[in-house]
Amino acid sequence: MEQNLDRQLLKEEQDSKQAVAGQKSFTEQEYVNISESSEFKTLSKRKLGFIVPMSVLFFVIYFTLPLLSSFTDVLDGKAIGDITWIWVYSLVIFIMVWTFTIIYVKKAASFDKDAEAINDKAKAGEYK
Amino acid sequence: MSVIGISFFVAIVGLTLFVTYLASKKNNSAADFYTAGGGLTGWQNGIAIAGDYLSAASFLGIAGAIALFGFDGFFYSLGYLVAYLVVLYIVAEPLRNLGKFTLADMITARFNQKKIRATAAVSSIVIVLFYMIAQLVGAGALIQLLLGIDYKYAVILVGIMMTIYVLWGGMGATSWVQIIKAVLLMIGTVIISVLVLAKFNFNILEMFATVSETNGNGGAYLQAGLKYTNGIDTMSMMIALVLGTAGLPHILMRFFTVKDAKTARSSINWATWIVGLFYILTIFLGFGAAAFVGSEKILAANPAGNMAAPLLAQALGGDILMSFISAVAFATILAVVAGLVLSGASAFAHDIYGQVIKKGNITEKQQMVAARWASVGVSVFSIILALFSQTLNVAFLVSLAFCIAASANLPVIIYTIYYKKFNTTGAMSAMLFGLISALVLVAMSPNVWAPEAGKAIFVGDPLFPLTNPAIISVPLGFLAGWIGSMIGEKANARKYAEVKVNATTGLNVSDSVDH
Repeated sequence: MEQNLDRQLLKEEQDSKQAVAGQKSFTEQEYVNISESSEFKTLSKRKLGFIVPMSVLFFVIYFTLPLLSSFTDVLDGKAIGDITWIWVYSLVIFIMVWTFTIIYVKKAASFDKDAEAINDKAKAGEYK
Repeated sequence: MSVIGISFFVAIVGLTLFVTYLASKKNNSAADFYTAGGGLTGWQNGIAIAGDYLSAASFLGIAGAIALFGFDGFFYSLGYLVAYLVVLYIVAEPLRNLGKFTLADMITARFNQKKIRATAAVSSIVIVLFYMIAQLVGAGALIQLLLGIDYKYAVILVGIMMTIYVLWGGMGATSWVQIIKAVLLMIGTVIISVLVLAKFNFNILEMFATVSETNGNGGAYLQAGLKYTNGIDTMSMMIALVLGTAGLPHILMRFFTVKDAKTARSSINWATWIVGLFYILTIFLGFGAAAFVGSEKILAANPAGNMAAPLLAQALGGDILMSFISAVAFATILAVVAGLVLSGASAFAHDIYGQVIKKGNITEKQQMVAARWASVGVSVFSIILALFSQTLNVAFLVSLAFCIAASANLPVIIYTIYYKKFNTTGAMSAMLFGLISALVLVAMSPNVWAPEAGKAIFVGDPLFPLTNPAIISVPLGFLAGWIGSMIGEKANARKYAEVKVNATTGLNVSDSVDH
């Protein structure tokens, strides 16, 4: 009895999911067409051209601190009063994190516009 | 415990239970349970993400480590904070666009195979269990000190509370408990920091000068190297800290609680400001404890230094501040473990039971039942493990969890999104090599083996010299994924087109509006 009920419930849920999904699911060919379109390629390139160099930069700035502190003594000297250079470098890392976050949020907003344009085109069926 | 102490404690527990009651009314579907229906706003999720990092380990652990070891205590703060950039730049938005409830959802968006989902779920469960045992054992010891309850009862109390939040309130309650506690913890930290600064006439140079004179280690206290003397090991730890966050299941899960990539981005924006400010304040907590409590007293209360912040609160603000800080520390532990239970339960109930065993043929009602049973199972299992681990030194399990997350999860996440030739062989080998190498290397490390009895779990010489294996296991995970993709079958380019488009534009999750 209960198993039948579950099976029936399951079918109803799947049907309703398909009905919702039907409005915005895209075919495999559409995805291939989008991925090969010049606007998508441009967006993808712009995104990677931003993300990759920025990521390399923050990794380099980050790992330089433990490298310098573990294998050299350049950060051991006093910078201001008793504050040593390693604290100053740490502050630079904090400021970097906040700055890079602001830069990302700004930059991503410009990517959003291009992405929305592609999505709107896709929803209008122009990649079929 | 004093009347004031008990009142703070009861007030905070009462508030979190009230929130759970409110959230329980909106906890009707699997999506509500795992992701609060994707209905959190950017600032809410941002504070909750920050809350995961304003954990007992950060608040009590880092403050204590700075108090005892000066700059070396601050390494963790740097690693955790920069980790947010990794999440923001590389992982958050594609993850939000591709996933539903779990990390495995995201990977199977590209490779819809049971073995991949099962492996991803297992690595999530392993990470969650390690993290949880470390948290529960730490929690038991701390609550014993803070509230004067026996270790066993402390662990069981925490276990019951976390199960209540998760069972009735799901992700909604867990998030709000996290938000409440994060706000209270920030208030407590700011109060103590201002009191510390006031003692130094609001002069930071005076503070540095005083701790430099009085700490007992002289100038070395303000330089690196007091605690971490092996440079390679330090690098390895820094790799695990910065890359691990982007692979931790309970952090990744937070990105499914918001509606789109834009809100995911805004969450991290909030989190970096809150956590960054908090970590700067840990310097004041640590230095304050060094100056006004003293390392002897800190070590006498707890050899790991975890009591530094509460003792400082007592020294500066008397019993009232101490009771407030203790109650908040308790709430901190509860919020973090509740999130861990949820991410463990989702890997069990959604991935392994729902998708692998039942192949997705499961009703909403059955999903909820499975999710609740899995939550109880994860809770009970980790409580039992924690009860047996009381006398073991398990603090290293947190960094092990970070290491596995960085070695087993991060390579497969990055390859799934960005690597065209990535295939199932690559995915399986990246996950298995990352997971197994991290586990095996830790099992041979000084954390587990020490020549002196009582220093580690077993007596003997460690076969592997580093306490953190990330410097080897992370490259291994990436390398295994790459080699696997080279020798395995040809990647499905059409499927990758779909993943790439969805990850980049969020087409599959964007609002369906006709223009």
